[in-house]
Amino acid sequence: MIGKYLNDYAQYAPVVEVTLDWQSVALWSEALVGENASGKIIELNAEQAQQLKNNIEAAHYQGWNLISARRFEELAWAAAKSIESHLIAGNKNIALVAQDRLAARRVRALLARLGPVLKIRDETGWKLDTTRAAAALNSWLELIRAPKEGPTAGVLLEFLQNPYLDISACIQKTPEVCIGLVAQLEDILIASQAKSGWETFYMAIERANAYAVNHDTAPNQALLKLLQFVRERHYAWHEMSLNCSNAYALLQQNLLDTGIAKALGKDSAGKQLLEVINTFDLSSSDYQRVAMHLPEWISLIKTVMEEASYEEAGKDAQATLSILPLSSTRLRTFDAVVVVGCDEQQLPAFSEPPLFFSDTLNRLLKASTITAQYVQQARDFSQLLGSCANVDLLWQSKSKSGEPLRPSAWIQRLQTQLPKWMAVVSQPELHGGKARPVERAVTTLDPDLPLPLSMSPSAYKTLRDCPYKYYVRSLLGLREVKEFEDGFDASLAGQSLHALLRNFYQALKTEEQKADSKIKDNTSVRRQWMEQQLFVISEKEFKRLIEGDGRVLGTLRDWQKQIPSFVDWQLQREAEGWRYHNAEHQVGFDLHFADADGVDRLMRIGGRADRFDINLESKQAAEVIDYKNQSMTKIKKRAEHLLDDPQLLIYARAANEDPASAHLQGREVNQAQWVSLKVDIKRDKKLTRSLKVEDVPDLMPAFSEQLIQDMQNLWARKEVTAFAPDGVCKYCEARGICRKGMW
Amino acid sequence: MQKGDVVKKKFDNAIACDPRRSVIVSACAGSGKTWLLVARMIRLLLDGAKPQEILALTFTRKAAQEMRDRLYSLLEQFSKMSDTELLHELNERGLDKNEATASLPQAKDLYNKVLASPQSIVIDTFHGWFGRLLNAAPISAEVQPGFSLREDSKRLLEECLDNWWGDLPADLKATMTSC
Repeated sequence: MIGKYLNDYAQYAPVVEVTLDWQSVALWSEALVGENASGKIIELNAEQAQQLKNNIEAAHYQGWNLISARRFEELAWAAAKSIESHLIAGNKNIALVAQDRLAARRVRALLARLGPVLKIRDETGWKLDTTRAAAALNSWLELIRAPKEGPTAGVLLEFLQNPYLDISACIQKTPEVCIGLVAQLEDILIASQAKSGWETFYMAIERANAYAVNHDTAPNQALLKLLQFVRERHYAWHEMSLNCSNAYALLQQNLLDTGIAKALGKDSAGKQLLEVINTFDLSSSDYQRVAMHLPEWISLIKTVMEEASYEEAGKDAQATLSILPLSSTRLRTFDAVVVVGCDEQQLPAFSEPPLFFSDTLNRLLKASTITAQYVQQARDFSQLLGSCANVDLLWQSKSKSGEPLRPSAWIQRLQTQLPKWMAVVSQPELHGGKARPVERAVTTLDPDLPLPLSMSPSAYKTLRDCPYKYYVRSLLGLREVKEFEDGFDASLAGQSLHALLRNFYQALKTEEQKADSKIKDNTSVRRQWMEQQLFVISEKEFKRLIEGDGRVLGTLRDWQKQIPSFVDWQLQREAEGWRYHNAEHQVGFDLHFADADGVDRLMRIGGRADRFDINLESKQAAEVIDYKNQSMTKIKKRAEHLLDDPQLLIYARAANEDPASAHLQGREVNQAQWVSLKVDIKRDKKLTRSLKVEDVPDLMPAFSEQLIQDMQNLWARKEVTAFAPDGVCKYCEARGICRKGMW
Repeated sequence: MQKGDVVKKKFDNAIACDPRRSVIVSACAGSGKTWLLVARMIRLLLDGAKPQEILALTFTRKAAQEMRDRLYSLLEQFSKMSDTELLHELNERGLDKNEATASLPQAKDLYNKVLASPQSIVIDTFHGWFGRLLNAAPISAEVQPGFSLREDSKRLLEECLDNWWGDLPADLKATMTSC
C-alpha cells in the first residue's frame, strides 16, 4: 500500500526511499533475508550464507557478555551490577533493554540507590494513569460517576483522602480545623456502617453530632459543611445535560474549587495531567457540542489518560540510563547496553494477538505476523549487537517454578559458531555473618497493669489458646481498626440464629400453655407446627439483614434446610423426657484463689448460657446446651480439647453453685452438649446434630484445679503456655505484633 | 505386529521410536519414558517434521520444561559429536546402520534447524495447551479473550454463590420466600 502511494507521489516530486540495511550486521539468516510473500523465511543462497558467515566471524563477541542468574533477585542484582560497572568505566549513555519487564523494574528500583547522579528515563511505557496525580483525578471522576443518591463511602473517602485536595479552601476554614477531619468522618461512617448515599452519610454525622452534644463534647459542623461542598458538586453533574464543552468547563471549575488544579501545577506528573485535560477543550471544534452520557464522557477521559505516557522530569545528571524495549534501540547509539530477559521464553517475545486475529488472519490482512515479528526482532537484535561495543546479555537460568530455562535460541545459535563465547553464571555477593536467633519473647507485664477481676468463657479460652492474644485483647484492650465489611459478617448470622431459636422456643412454650393446643398430644401435628414456626421466625429474624445485604439470603436458605432435621432432634429429645427450659441466662460463679503474695483473691467467671433443658422424668436432671454454627467435625475437634475450651463446664458449675440464677432450683446440671446448626445434610446420612460431654461431674475437679492454677499464674504474672494449634493464629488480631516466627 | 498387540518380550526401541507408527508405552517410573518421548521427537524431526508440527503434552509444567531441556541439550550434543558417537546414539534410537549413516548430516543440523524456527516445538501441559487453543479462538469458544485459568475452584464457587443470592431479582426473591 505504501509502495503504491509512493509510486503515485513520484509523479509530483522525486521520491527517494531510505530503508535500513542489515546486510553487514545480520547474525542470523532470518535477519539477513527476511520472509517471502507467503510469510516463510527465505532460504539462504550460497552468497548470502557466505555473507552471514563473514558477519559472524567479524563479530566482536568479546564485548558481549553472557550472564545467567539462577533467581529473579540475582538477575536484578547482576543487571544492576553490570550497569554500575559501565558507569564506573565512564560510560554516560547506557541502555537497559527490558525484555523481562519485571526484572527491569527491579533493576530500576535497585539503581534508585545511586541517587540523582544517574538519570533514569523509562521508555517502556510509564503511563500517566499510574501516577499519584492521575489517581487524584480518578478519585474525583469515580465520585461524580456515582448515582444521584450518592457515592459509596469508599469512593467518598478515597476522594477526600487524596493529597491534592485542599480541604480548608473547600470549606473556607483555617487549616487547623481541618486536621483529622477526614479521619473523623471515616470513624463515624464505619461506626454506623453508613456504606453509601448522601442521606445515610448525613444521618450518620447528625447522629454523631447529637451524641457529642449529649456527652458534652463539641459537635463537628465542619464535617457537614465538607459533605455539603462535595454533594453540591456531585449534584451539578447529574443536573446538567452534558456535552463535551460544558462538561469540560465544569471539570475545570471543580479542579479549581477543590484546590486540586493548584496542587497539580506543583507536581511534574500533575502538570502533564493538566495538559492532557486541557486537550478536552477540543479547541472550539464542532465536537464541543457532542452530547454524551456522563459515564461515556468519563470513560473517554479515562481512556485518554490510560494512553498518555508520563515523562519523568529531566534533571542534570552525570549519566543517563534509558529503560526501553528492544525495538526502541533501532538507529540509536549507546555507550553500553544491558539486556535483561534473554531467555528462550522472552527473546523473541511475540505480542498477544488481539481477539480473533489469528496468525493466519493477520497474514491475510497483511498485519504483523509471528514470522514478521520474529524477523524484525532478529534484525533489531543483530543491529544492537553490531552497533554497540559493550552489550551484556542476562537471563534467568531457572524459571519461576524452578524449571531450567535455556538462553534465547539466537544466543544458542551464535554459540554453535562461536564456541569460545561462553556464559558466566552470576555469583551473588554473599555477606558472612552469624545468625543471632531471637530468644523467645516473654511479655513483661507492667506492674501497674490491672489484672482481671472477671472472665468470660471465651476470654478463658483465649488465655488457654494463646496467653499473648489474651494479653493484647483483654488486658491491653487492643482491637483491630474497623473497616467497612466487604463480605457478610459471619458472626451476625450466628447471633441471628441464636435469637431466632430463643424466639421459637418461647413461642413453643406459649403454645403449650394454651388449653386447646393440638400440638401437645399429636406428634405429627407438633412436628408440622414446629417446622412451620421455625421457618416463619427465621424469615422474620433475617429480614432486616437481607435488606441490608442480599447475599445473606444464602445463609438463611442454608439454615432453613436444616430445620426438618433440627425438629427431628428436638422431638427425639422430648421423647427422652427433655424439655426446653430457658435461654440466654447470665450465669457465673466466684473463684477463690491466692495471688503471689498469698492474698485471697476473688474472680467472677461466667457468661450467657445458650440454653438449659430439664428432664420431666426426673426431679433433678438438667442439661446445658450450646449452639454452634459449625459442622460436627469442628465440634468433635473442640471436644478433644475440652479443658482448653470449657465453656459448657463453666455454665454447668455456675448453674450448680447458684441454681436460682438459671431458674433451676432443685436441679443439678450433670449433662452438657453442643448442638450443631450446620450439619452436612448431603453427606451425613444419620444427621447427627449433637455431641455430649461425657461425665461432667467427673471432669469438674480437674477443671476447677486447672482454673485455679491458671488464675494464680496470671495474677503472679508468671509465664503461661499457649495450648492451641497453629491454626488459631490465622485470624488472630495480635498476629504480627506477637512476633511469632522470630523465636 | 498388529494394531493393539501388546509387546511382551524384550522392549524393542526400533518399534517404539518408529515415527510411522503410533505407540502406547506403559512403564514404571524411572524406566525411561521421557527418554523415549524425546527419542520419538528426534525421529520425527529426522523424518522431516517441522518443529512447530510437533506437540508433546505432559501433566505437569515441570515435566514439560524438563523434556524441553533434555531435547535441546541432546540436539546440542548431536551437533558437536563425532560421527561414531552420533551413529551409536542414532542406533540406540532405532535406526539401523544404513539409515543412521544416511541421516548423519541431518542429525548434526537438527539443533540449528530447531533453533532457527520462529515457532518452536510445543511441549506443554494439558491445561496449558487447551488454554492456548481457547485463547486462539475466544469468540467461537465463547471465552473472554486473554482469560487466565483459575485453579481455586472452591473460592470461585463461593464467590459465585454469594453474587447469585445477592443479585436475585426482587420478584424471584419473593417467590423463594413463599415456597
